[in-house]
Amino acid sequence: MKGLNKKFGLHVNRPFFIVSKMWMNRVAECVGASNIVLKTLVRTNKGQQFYFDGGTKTIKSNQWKDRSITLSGKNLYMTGTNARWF
Amino acid sequence: MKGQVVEVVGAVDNENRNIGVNDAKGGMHQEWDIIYVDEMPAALKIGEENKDWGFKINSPFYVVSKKSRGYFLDLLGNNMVMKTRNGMKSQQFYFDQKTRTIKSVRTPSYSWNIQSNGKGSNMSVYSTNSNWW
Repeated sequence: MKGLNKKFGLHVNRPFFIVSKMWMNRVAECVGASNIVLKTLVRTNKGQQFYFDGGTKTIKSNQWKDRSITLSGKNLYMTGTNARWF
Repeated sequence: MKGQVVEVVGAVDNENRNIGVNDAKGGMHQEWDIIYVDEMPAALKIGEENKDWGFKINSPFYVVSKKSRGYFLDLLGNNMVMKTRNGMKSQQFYFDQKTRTIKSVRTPSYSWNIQSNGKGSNMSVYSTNSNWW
C-alpha cells in the first residue's frame, strides 16, 4: 500500500517531521521510545521522524517502528502499536 | 479526544517542552506543519535570507534611528542606548539562524533581550537563551 491515504491525509510509509509553527520551528521528537517533546531539528535523528502506517492506521516512529502515537490523559506519547481509537 | 488538537503544552517554545492535546484555542502553539523528510528544505547558509524573519543570516547590520540626528543603536555595558556612529562593534548586530535571535557582534554569546523576562520595557543584550514570551 503506497501513496496518499485520502481519508487520513497522509502518505503511507513516507517519513515526515512534525514542525511547530512557533518561533523556533522546533519539531516533535520521541524521546526514549516513549514521551514526545519539542526539540531542535536534527535531520538525521529518526526519533524526530514519523510515518503513517497503512495497516494499523496509526502514526509510527521511524526509529521505533513497533510503536505508535497515543494519548495518556492529555499527554502525547508513544506506545506499542494497538490501533485503538478513543 | 474528539475535537481536540495537538499543542505545545503551556505555549512555551522551549527545548524538551511536552506535547499534548487540548481544545483548539487558535494559538501558534497549536499549529504545525507536516513536512515529509524528502521535502524538507535545506538548511539556510550564511548570507542567505531567512524570509520569515527578514534578515540575512550572520550578516552584520546597524540599527539607525529615523530621527533627525540618525543615532546608531549601541551597547553601554549590556544596556541598549543611542549613540553617534563610531565604528565600534558594539553598534553591529546580526541575525543568528540557530537561535533565531539578534546577536551582538561585540559579544556573540549575547542576544537582544527584553528585560524582566519580557515583561519590562527596557532592551538590553543578555546571554542567549532563545526564550520567547
